[in-house]
Formats: sequence, C-alpha cells, structure tokens
Amino acid sequence: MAAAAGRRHGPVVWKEADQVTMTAYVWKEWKEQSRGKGLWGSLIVVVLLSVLLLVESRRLPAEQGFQVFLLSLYELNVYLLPLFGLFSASFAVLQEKEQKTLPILLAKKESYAGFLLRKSIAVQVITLSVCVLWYFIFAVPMLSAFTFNLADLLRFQLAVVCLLAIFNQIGILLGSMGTTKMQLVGMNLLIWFTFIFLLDLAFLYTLPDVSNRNIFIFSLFYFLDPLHTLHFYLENALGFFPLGHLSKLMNQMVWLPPQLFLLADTVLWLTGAYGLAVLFGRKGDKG
Amino acid sequence: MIEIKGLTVAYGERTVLDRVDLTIGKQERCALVGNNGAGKSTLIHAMLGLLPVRHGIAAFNGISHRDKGWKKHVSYLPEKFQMYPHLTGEENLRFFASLDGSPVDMARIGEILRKVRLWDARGRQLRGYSKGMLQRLGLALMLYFDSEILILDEPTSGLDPDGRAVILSILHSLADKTILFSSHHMEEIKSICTHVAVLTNAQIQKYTVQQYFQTNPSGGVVI
Repeated sequence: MAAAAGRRHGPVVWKEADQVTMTAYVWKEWKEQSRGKGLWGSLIVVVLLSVLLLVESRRLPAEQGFQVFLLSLYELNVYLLPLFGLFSASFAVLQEKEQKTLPILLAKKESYAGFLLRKSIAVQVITLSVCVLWYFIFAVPMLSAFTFNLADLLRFQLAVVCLLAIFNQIGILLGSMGTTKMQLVGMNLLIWFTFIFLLDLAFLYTLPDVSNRNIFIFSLFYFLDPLHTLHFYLENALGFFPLGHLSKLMNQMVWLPPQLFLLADTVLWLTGAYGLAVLFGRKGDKG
Repeated sequence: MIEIKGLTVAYGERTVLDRVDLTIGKQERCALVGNNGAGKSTLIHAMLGLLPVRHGIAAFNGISHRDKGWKKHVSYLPEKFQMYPHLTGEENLRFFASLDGSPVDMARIGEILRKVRLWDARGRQLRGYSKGMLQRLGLALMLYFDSEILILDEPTSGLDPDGRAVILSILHSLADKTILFSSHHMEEIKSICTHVAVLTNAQIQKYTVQQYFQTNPSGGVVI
C-alpha cells in the first residue's frame, strides 16, 4: 500500500527533492558570493559609473532624456557586465574543481550535467538578482532627473538581464573547460575582447560585399552576436530605431521582430553554452 | 562490497591501469598502496566514474558504476580537498546533507560535529580551519552520509601525529563499513587495515595485511 502510494506520488516527491537541492545550491552560492569580494567589487564599479553617468546626463532634454540616458547606461554596461559575468561565473566553476567539491558532489549524487545545471541556475539567480535590484534602486534618482517611464526601465532591465545571463553562461562554459586560474584569466579576456572588438572588425570587413543575395546569411551571423541583437532590441524598444521606413535591403536583414531576435539569441546562447560545457567537462560520469 | 573487473584506463598511449581486477569484501578495510604516479588516484577516479574508462567495470554492492543507484552506497573523500572556504563548517555539512533532497537533520549534524571534535569551530568559516580540521570535517560528511562503502584518497596526508591519530581513531570506529583508502603510511595501514592492495606496473595484487608485512617487512611496495 505504502509502496503503491509512493509510486503514485513518485514524480511529486522527486520534484520536491529536486527543489530542496536547488534551493540549497542557491543558498550556498549566495553565502559564498556575498562573503567574497568579487560580487561587491563588481557592483561598486557598476554603481559608481551609473551615478557618474547620471550626473553627466542631467543636461539632456526632459522629453527624450530618459531614453537617451538608458541607452547610454546600457552601452556603458556592454563593456562591464560581460567581463564581470565571465569572471564570476567561470571562477565559480573552477573553484568547485580546485576545492575538490566537484568530485565529492559527482561521487555522491550529481551527474556532471545536473551539477552544471544547478550551478548555472544558482549563479544566474544571484548575479541577476543583485543587478536587477540595483537598477530598481537606481530608478529613485532617475525619477527626479528625467520624465520617468517604467516600461522603458523594464525594457532596459530586460536587455541588461539577457546580457549578463548570456555572459554568465559563457563564463560557466569557460570554467568547465579551464583547469587553472591563469588559463581562465586568458580565456575570459580573449572572449571579452572578441565580442567587444574583434567581431565588429570582422563584420566591418565583410560589409562592402553584402548584397540582396547574401543579406540573409549576413543577418544570421550578425544577429548571432548577442551584443548586436541586444543593442538592436533596446534601440528599437526605446524608440530610436523604428522599423517603419527601412530600405528593401534592411527589411531583408531584419527578418524577425527585435523581441524575437532577442529571445532566439538568448535561448541559443544559454542552451548552447550549457550544452558545450557539459560536453567539454564530461568525465565519463553515468550515475 | 567493491568489485573491479578488467578496469583499463589510459592517458593517450600510456596505459595506467591494465585490466585490473580487485574485490574488496563487505566490512574489509583495504589500503591501496603504490609509488607516486602508480595510478592510485586514477583507479579511484575511474571506479567512481570521474574518469573515462577504456574497458572494465566497477560495482558497488552489486551495482555497476554505469548504472543508476550506486552513488547511495558510496562516499568519497578526495585528497587535499578544501570544501567551500567562505562557508562555516556547519554550513558546509548542511549544504552537502541537502543533496539528497530530504530535510537536513541538524541534530545529527551537531552530534557528528561533536564526534569529530569540531563542535566549537562549527561557526567558523573554513578559511580559518587547519588541515587536520578540514580532514575531520570531511570525515564528518562521510559519517552524515552513512554510506556502506567509504573511499578515501590519502586521508592523513600532511597531518601532524595528533591530527593523524584523530582520523585513525574515527576510521577505527567504522567497523561496519567497507573502506578503501590510499596511503603511504605503513604504521596506519598496520593498525587499521585488514587487507592491502598493491598497485605496480598498471596491475594490482591484493594481500591480507599479515601476508603483506610478512613478505615485505619494511612496508615498501612489492614489485
């Protein structure tokens, strides 16, 4: 009877157990990050630069000043958040290897894929919560400085969340591949440099050859870069890039609404980076 | 019970374990000895599925490491582990204890912390723990899991005589467990082991502890 009841409630019990474990991962990650220096150091830089930008932007026109400020703030974040995401997430995974907690977890309970999934969720929950919370707090001085628009703030928050989430996940992939701190520092800087500078140089190089015949292929590669997609989404969402008067070539280039480009890009990078991390870090665990 | 059959592990062209067979019976305490680089840690990692295996199988209480369910029978403590340095001793145990998804038994954690003499240090972050304290915390974790099979990689390495004595007395108290641990210390092998498995030239040979020290009084590795 009890066994039958257990079988009947099996999936529910599993879900509850899984939730307990997931909560424990988030709790542990919060304790570790909040007692370390990395999270707060990164936040202080973001806070200081946000405040400085606000002071500088007080002279913007009241009507569109808020949107201009949000776009400038996002553009500032493009240089900072990927770097913070890459470093904090990759080191969080590397430390599990260095402290030998990973083999204890793998030998006792987890598969490597399960560990990475929980670790990814825990890292994302902590870093994204801190970031989102800060920008909601920062909305208070923004209220007094501009004609405030909550919807635009939420669009900005969405772009920032996607930006940080994607680079956190790439960081987890690098942490899964790396074996030493020095190696990881090099990999993080290379990836950051590639996304921030090299890819745009490569696109500039190919731009003269883009025509009606190959615009779709160019568009695929262009929007695969999350920085392009996020910037395009935010410019459009804040009203700086309306899609009503595009040329024929640009219409072919923008073959999806910006929100769908954003969704596709975020899902692709999060799942792709997670899948590759499982593949690269897999050590023959089957249990 | 641990059964290893035909286990083969290679790093590229170099075969570290070549069709290794080893059986450790229920409640046996077996030391795994061998020179540095002989493959002791490789054997342990391969058994636990932490390294890819070319051929062969390891089974714990009859369950292969390729199947689900073997992990609840086994607890593993790696060499030179650190756990989470920003968490306290108690918080570390609490995290690992929550892995099976059931509510954490804090009373039992307290009882185990007293047993391994870490009760007074339970609220301190691990950054302030000595190596001996860390090893005792690792054993506390194993005691909490209460698995039938314990696998320890050099649990007394780098400890002072007092620290080693505490670890050995805890291992002594686990008479109902099947234990495999790698070690270079012949005295501790003599004092707590029932068997010795010697790893040389990618092969393994098992002796009773009496046989081992009769044929090899110095305790060096038998070749």
